[in-house]
Amino acid sequence: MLDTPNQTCPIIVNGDSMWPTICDGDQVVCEVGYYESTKPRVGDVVLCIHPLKPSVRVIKRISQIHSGARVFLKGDNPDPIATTDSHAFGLVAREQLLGRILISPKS
Amino acid sequence: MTYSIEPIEAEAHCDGPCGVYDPASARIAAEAVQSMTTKMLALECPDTTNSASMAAYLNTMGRYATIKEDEAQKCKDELLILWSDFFKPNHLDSIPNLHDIFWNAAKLCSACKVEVSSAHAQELIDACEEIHNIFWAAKGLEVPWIRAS
Repeated sequence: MLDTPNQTCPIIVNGDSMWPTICDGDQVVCEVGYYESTKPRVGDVVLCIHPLKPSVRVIKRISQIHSGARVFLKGDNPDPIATTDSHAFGLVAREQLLGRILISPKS
Repeated sequence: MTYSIEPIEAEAHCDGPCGVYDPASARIAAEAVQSMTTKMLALECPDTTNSASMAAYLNTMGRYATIKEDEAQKCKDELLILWSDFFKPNHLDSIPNLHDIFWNAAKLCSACKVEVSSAHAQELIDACEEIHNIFWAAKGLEVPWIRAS
Protein backbone atom coordinates (compact mmCIF):
# COMPACT_ATOMS: atom_id res chain seq x y z
CA MET A 1 0.00 0.00 0.00
CA LEU A 2 3.01 2.28 0.46
CA ASP A 3 3.62 1.96 -3.28
CA THR A 4 0.42 3.80 -4.01
CA PRO A 5 0.91 7.58 -3.97
CA ASN A 6 -1.73 10.05 -2.89
CA GLN A 7 -3.25 7.62 -0.46
CA THR A 8 -3.53 7.90 3.30
CA CYS A 9 -2.35 4.96 5.32
CA PRO A 10 -2.73 4.28 9.05
CA ILE A 11 0.54 3.67 10.87
CA ILE A 12 1.05 2.15 14.32
CA VAL A 13 4.13 3.62 15.99
CA ASN A 14 6.48 1.49 18.11
CA GLY A 15 8.76 3.36 20.51
CA ASP A 16 9.13 6.68 22.29
CA SER A 17 11.58 8.53 20.08
CA MET A 18 8.84 10.92 18.92
CA TRP A 19 7.52 11.55 22.43
CA PRO A 20 5.74 13.77 23.38
CA THR A 21 4.33 14.30 19.87
CA ILE A 22 3.71 10.61 19.24
CA CYS A 23 3.69 8.02 22.01
CA ASP A 24 4.47 4.32 21.85
CA GLY A 25 1.46 2.52 20.39
CA ASP A 26 -0.17 5.61 18.90
CA GLN A 27 -1.79 5.34 15.50
CA VAL A 28 -1.05 8.11 13.02
CA VAL A 29 -1.85 8.73 9.39
CA CYS A 30 0.67 8.89 6.56
CA GLU A 31 0.13 10.74 3.31
CA VAL A 32 1.89 8.28 1.02
CA GLY A 33 3.94 9.77 -1.78
CA TYR A 34 3.53 13.30 -0.47
CA TYR A 35 7.13 14.23 -1.29
CA GLU A 36 6.89 13.12 -4.89
CA SER A 37 5.21 16.42 -5.63
CA THR A 38 6.08 18.56 -2.62
CA LYS A 39 9.46 19.61 -1.26
CA PRO A 40 10.28 18.47 2.27
CA ARG A 41 10.09 21.21 4.87
CA VAL A 42 11.79 21.62 8.22
CA GLY A 43 9.35 20.52 10.88
CA ASP A 44 7.60 17.87 8.82
CA VAL A 45 7.19 14.49 10.50
CA VAL A 46 7.96 11.82 7.95
CA LEU A 47 7.78 8.09 7.36
CA CYS A 48 10.94 6.84 5.74
CA ILE A 49 13.03 3.78 5.09
CA HIS A 50 15.76 3.26 7.66
CA PRO A 51 18.93 4.06 5.66
CA LEU A 52 20.86 1.18 7.22
CA LYS A 53 17.99 -1.30 7.53
CA PRO A 54 15.94 -1.29 4.33
CA SER A 55 13.24 -3.51 5.80
CA VAL A 56 12.54 -1.07 8.65
CA ARG A 57 10.31 1.99 8.40
CA VAL A 58 10.94 4.82 10.83
CA ILE A 59 9.13 7.99 11.84
CA LYS A 60 11.19 11.12 12.57
CA ARG A 61 11.02 14.87 12.14
CA ILE A 62 12.96 16.87 9.54
CA SER A 63 15.26 19.25 11.41
CA GLN A 64 17.48 20.41 8.55
CA ILE A 65 17.50 20.31 4.76
CA HIS A 66 20.84 19.96 3.02
CA SER A 67 21.96 20.23 -0.56
CA GLY A 68 20.70 17.59 -2.92
CA ALA A 69 17.36 17.48 -1.12
CA ARG A 70 18.85 15.35 1.65
CA VAL A 71 17.31 15.82 5.07
CA PHE A 72 18.54 15.52 8.63
CA LEU A 73 16.02 13.62 10.73
CA LYS A 74 15.63 13.80 14.51
CA GLY A 75 13.35 12.31 17.10
CA ASP A 76 11.29 14.68 19.20
CA ASN A 77 12.33 12.98 22.45
CA PRO A 78 14.92 15.25 24.11
CA ASP A 79 16.75 12.24 25.51
CA PRO A 80 19.60 11.57 23.04
CA ILE A 81 19.59 7.86 23.81
CA ALA A 82 15.86 7.52 23.23
CA THR A 83 16.17 7.96 19.49
CA THR A 84 18.21 6.64 16.63
CA ASP A 85 18.15 9.27 13.91
CA SER A 86 20.42 11.15 11.52
CA HIS A 87 22.96 11.52 14.32
CA ALA A 88 23.48 7.79 13.81
CA PHE A 89 22.41 6.98 10.25
CA GLY A 90 23.25 10.26 8.53
CA LEU A 91 21.35 12.31 6.01
CA VAL A 92 18.38 10.78 4.24
CA ALA A 93 17.65 11.25 0.56
CA ARG A 94 14.26 12.62 -0.44
CA GLU A 95 13.59 9.41 -2.38
CA GLN A 96 13.64 7.49 0.89
CA LEU A 97 10.80 9.55 2.34
CA LEU A 98 7.70 7.43 1.96
CA GLY A 99 5.28 10.08 3.09
CA ARG A 100 4.29 12.82 5.47
CA ILE A 101 2.74 12.06 8.84
CA LEU A 102 -0.37 13.99 9.76
CA ILE A 103 -0.20 15.07 13.38
CA SER A 104 -3.45 15.72 15.16
CA PRO A 105 -3.43 17.70 18.42
CA LYS A 106 -3.59 15.53 21.50
CA SER A 107 -6.77 15.82 23.47
CA MET B 1 -11.53 8.25 11.13
CA THR B 2 -11.75 4.66 9.89
CA TYR B 3 -9.74 3.04 7.17
CA SER B 4 -10.43 0.20 4.82
CA ILE B 5 -6.82 -0.89 4.99
CA GLU B 6 -5.02 -2.42 7.94
CA PRO B 7 -2.42 -0.23 9.66
CA ILE B 8 1.23 -1.01 9.16
CA GLU B 9 3.94 -0.55 11.77
CA ALA B 10 6.79 1.95 11.90
CA GLU B 11 9.63 2.22 14.38
CA ALA B 12 10.34 5.22 16.57
CA HIS B 13 12.88 3.94 19.03
CA CYS B 14 16.54 3.66 19.80
CA ASP B 15 18.72 1.09 18.03
CA GLY B 16 21.45 1.34 20.66
CA PRO B 17 22.81 -1.63 22.56
CA CYS B 18 20.40 -1.05 25.39
CA GLY B 19 17.30 -2.81 26.54
CA VAL B 20 18.54 -5.15 29.26
CA TYR B 21 18.12 -3.41 32.58
CA ASP B 22 17.30 -4.81 36.00
CA PRO B 23 17.49 -3.06 39.37
CA ALA B 24 18.49 -6.40 40.91
CA SER B 25 22.16 -5.55 40.33
CA ALA B 26 21.86 -2.45 42.52
CA ARG B 27 19.87 -4.36 45.12
CA ILE B 28 22.49 -7.11 45.45
CA ALA B 29 25.25 -4.52 45.87
CA ALA B 30 23.20 -2.64 48.46
CA GLU B 31 22.65 -5.88 50.37
CA ALA B 32 26.41 -6.46 50.38
CA VAL B 33 26.93 -2.94 51.75
CA GLN B 34 24.46 -3.64 54.53
CA SER B 35 26.05 -7.00 55.28
CA MET B 36 29.55 -5.52 55.51
CA THR B 37 28.28 -2.66 57.67
CA THR B 38 26.73 -5.16 60.06
CA LYS B 39 29.90 -7.23 60.19
CA MET B 40 32.09 -4.18 60.81
CA LEU B 41 29.92 -3.02 63.68
CA ALA B 42 29.87 -6.52 65.20
CA LEU B 43 33.60 -7.21 64.90
CA GLU B 44 35.11 -7.12 68.36
CA CYS B 45 38.42 -5.42 68.89
CA PRO B 46 40.94 -7.87 70.42
CA ASP B 47 43.60 -7.25 73.03
CA THR B 48 45.65 -4.53 71.41
CA THR B 49 48.85 -5.92 72.91
CA ASN B 50 48.40 -9.20 71.09
CA SER B 51 49.99 -8.53 67.75
CA ALA B 52 48.69 -11.65 66.04
CA SER B 53 45.12 -10.96 67.12
CA MET B 54 45.43 -7.31 66.13
CA ALA B 55 46.80 -8.25 62.71
CA ALA B 56 43.89 -10.62 62.12
CA TYR B 57 41.42 -8.00 63.34
CA LEU B 58 42.83 -5.24 61.16
CA ASN B 59 42.99 -7.56 58.18
CA THR B 60 39.35 -8.60 58.61
CA MET B 61 38.18 -5.05 59.24
CA GLY B 62 40.14 -3.87 56.21
CA ARG B 63 38.58 -6.52 54.01
CA TYR B 64 35.09 -5.62 55.22
CA ALA B 65 35.74 -1.94 54.55
CA THR B 66 37.12 -2.65 51.09
CA ILE B 67 34.13 -4.77 50.15
CA LYS B 68 31.73 -2.16 51.55
CA GLU B 69 33.50 0.55 49.54
CA ASP B 70 33.48 -1.48 46.32
CA GLU B 71 29.88 -2.62 46.62
CA ALA B 72 28.63 0.89 47.44
CA GLN B 73 30.36 2.18 44.30
CA LYS B 74 28.93 -0.72 42.30
CA CYS B 75 25.46 0.09 43.63
CA LYS B 76 25.89 3.73 42.62
CA ASP B 77 27.08 2.73 39.13
CA GLU B 78 24.09 0.45 38.62
CA LEU B 79 21.66 3.10 39.83
CA LEU B 80 23.16 5.74 37.55
CA ILE B 81 22.79 3.42 34.55
CA LEU B 82 19.11 2.97 35.32
CA TRP B 83 18.68 6.71 35.84
CA SER B 84 20.48 7.91 32.71
CA ASP B 85 19.78 5.08 30.28
CA PHE B 86 16.58 3.24 31.16
CA PHE B 87 14.43 6.13 32.35
CA LYS B 88 13.36 8.61 29.70
CA PRO B 89 11.78 12.06 29.91
CA ASN B 90 8.34 10.57 29.33
CA HIS B 91 8.65 8.66 32.63
CA LEU B 92 8.54 11.99 34.47
CA ASP B 93 4.84 12.20 33.66
CA SER B 94 4.09 9.29 35.98
CA ILE B 95 7.12 9.66 38.29
CA PRO B 96 7.58 13.41 38.78
CA ASN B 97 10.07 12.88 41.64
CA LEU B 98 12.22 10.47 39.59
CA HIS B 99 15.35 12.64 39.77
CA ASP B 100 15.06 13.13 43.52
CA ILE B 101 14.68 9.39 44.05
CA PHE B 102 17.90 8.63 42.18
CA TRP B 103 19.79 11.62 43.57
CA ASN B 104 19.02 10.57 47.12
CA ALA B 105 19.86 6.94 46.40
CA ALA B 106 23.21 7.90 44.89
CA LYS B 107 23.97 10.08 47.92
CA LEU B 108 23.16 7.17 50.21
CA CYS B 109 25.74 5.10 48.34
CA SER B 110 28.30 7.79 49.11
CA ALA B 111 27.21 8.01 52.74
CA CYS B 112 27.61 4.25 53.11
CA LYS B 113 31.15 4.53 51.81
CA VAL B 114 32.08 7.34 54.19
CA GLU B 115 30.40 5.91 57.29
CA VAL B 116 29.77 2.63 59.05
CA SER B 117 26.07 3.35 59.53
CA SER B 118 23.46 0.65 59.80
CA ALA B 119 20.80 3.37 59.46
CA HIS B 120 22.11 4.61 56.12
CA ALA B 121 22.67 1.05 54.93
CA GLN B 122 19.01 0.30 55.58
CA GLU B 123 17.97 3.57 53.89
CA LEU B 124 19.96 2.48 50.83
CA ILE B 125 18.09 -0.83 50.79
CA ASP B 126 14.81 1.07 51.06
CA ALA B 127 15.83 3.36 48.20
CA CYS B 128 16.66 0.34 46.04
CA GLU B 129 13.26 -1.12 46.84
CA GLU B 130 11.55 2.09 45.76
CA ILE B 131 13.55 2.08 42.52
CA HIS B 132 12.68 -1.60 42.01
CA ASN B 133 9.00 -0.66 42.30
CA ILE B 134 9.08 2.32 39.92
CA PHE B 135 11.24 0.43 37.42
CA TRP B 136 8.90 -2.53 37.08
CA ALA B 137 5.85 -0.28 37.15
CA ALA B 138 7.34 1.65 34.23
CA LYS B 139 7.68 -1.64 32.35
CA GLY B 140 4.09 -2.56 33.22
CA LEU B 141 5.09 -5.65 35.17
CA GLU B 142 4.48 -6.80 38.72
CA VAL B 143 7.75 -8.13 40.11
CA PRO B 144 7.95 -8.79 43.84
CA TRP B 145 10.77 -7.31 45.89
CA ILE B 146 12.92 -10.20 47.08
CA ARG B 147 16.14 -10.00 49.06
CA ALA B 148 19.02 -12.42 48.70
CA SER B 149 20.08 -12.02 52.33
